Amino acid sequence: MTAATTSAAGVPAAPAPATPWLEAFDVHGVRMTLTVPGDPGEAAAAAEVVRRLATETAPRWERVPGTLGGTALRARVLDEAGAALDGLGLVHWALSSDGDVLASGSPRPRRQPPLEALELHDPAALGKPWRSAVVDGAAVADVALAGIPGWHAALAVRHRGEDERRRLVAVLASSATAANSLAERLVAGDPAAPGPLEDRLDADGAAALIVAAGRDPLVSPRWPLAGAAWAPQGAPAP
Amino acid sequence: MRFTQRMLGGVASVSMAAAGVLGLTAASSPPLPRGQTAAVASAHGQASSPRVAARAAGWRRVDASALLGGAPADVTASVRDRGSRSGRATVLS
Repeated sequence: MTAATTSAAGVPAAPAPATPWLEAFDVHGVRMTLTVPGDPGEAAAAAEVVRRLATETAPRWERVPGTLGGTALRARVLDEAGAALDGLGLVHWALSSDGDVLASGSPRPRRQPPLEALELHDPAALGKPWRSAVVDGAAVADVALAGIPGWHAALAVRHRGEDERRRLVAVLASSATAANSLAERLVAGDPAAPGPLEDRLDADGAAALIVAAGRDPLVSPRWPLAGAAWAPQGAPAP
Repeated sequence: MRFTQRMLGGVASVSMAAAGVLGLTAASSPPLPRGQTAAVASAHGQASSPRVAARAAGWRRVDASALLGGAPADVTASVRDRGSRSGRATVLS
């Protein structure tokens, strides 16, 4: 395992208060990042919690201790880390594990959101949501992850095949575990006929994108176009 | 001769009428080349080609440019990061 602390500019230095703080470290070959806007001390404490979870607790969940081999386990790490950050009272953060993302709040939160807006659970009061790009060499799509306290937004990306058989699947869901499960099933199925998973996507309030070589992208009804925001089911609209 | 012509004409018209009742017109039932049967059937909802199945389930095809909003990314979800030990996993605007 190696650990590194890197600022937004790639230089180990304390960022300005308004700049999101990025912690990046490898856990048994799995690259994890934690991005927290605001106070560096708060961010460092959060990073320590996530690092301990990933390096000390999560390996015990695996059948072969000391590995983080499966995507399901990595997704569980994200969800458990998100819950731990919630437990610390942190609202604004983004986690990634080998390219999958789980986010809450905003990268540039409003310093003093109106109390009334908070009571009404108005997500706009917290600041603009995290913008996430789906990248496969180049940007394929970008979406806003409208996470607010209590509602996480997860984005999982999977691919299979090469050249003319290559396909990429991206899934938005309210947890990393749900996003991983749906993405794995979609990427294993027929990219031109994902219909059988429609009920599962609907039940989870999830959204999916399938990009297969030589075809126009296929999107499920809730996939946000043109950089629009996706919100977990039941969450206030962004 | 005229009787024979009338008989043949009558038989032909009765045959045409019977075919009409049965819905057997030349235009409605052309022989289908091999491979086209399923496509025609799917157009009538009797079978499913992949595209029809996707559309029926609420999925839709969009132009690739419709997926991009143009705003800089705060975080990146990428298949390239999988298993990588180097490079930046997060891009901050």
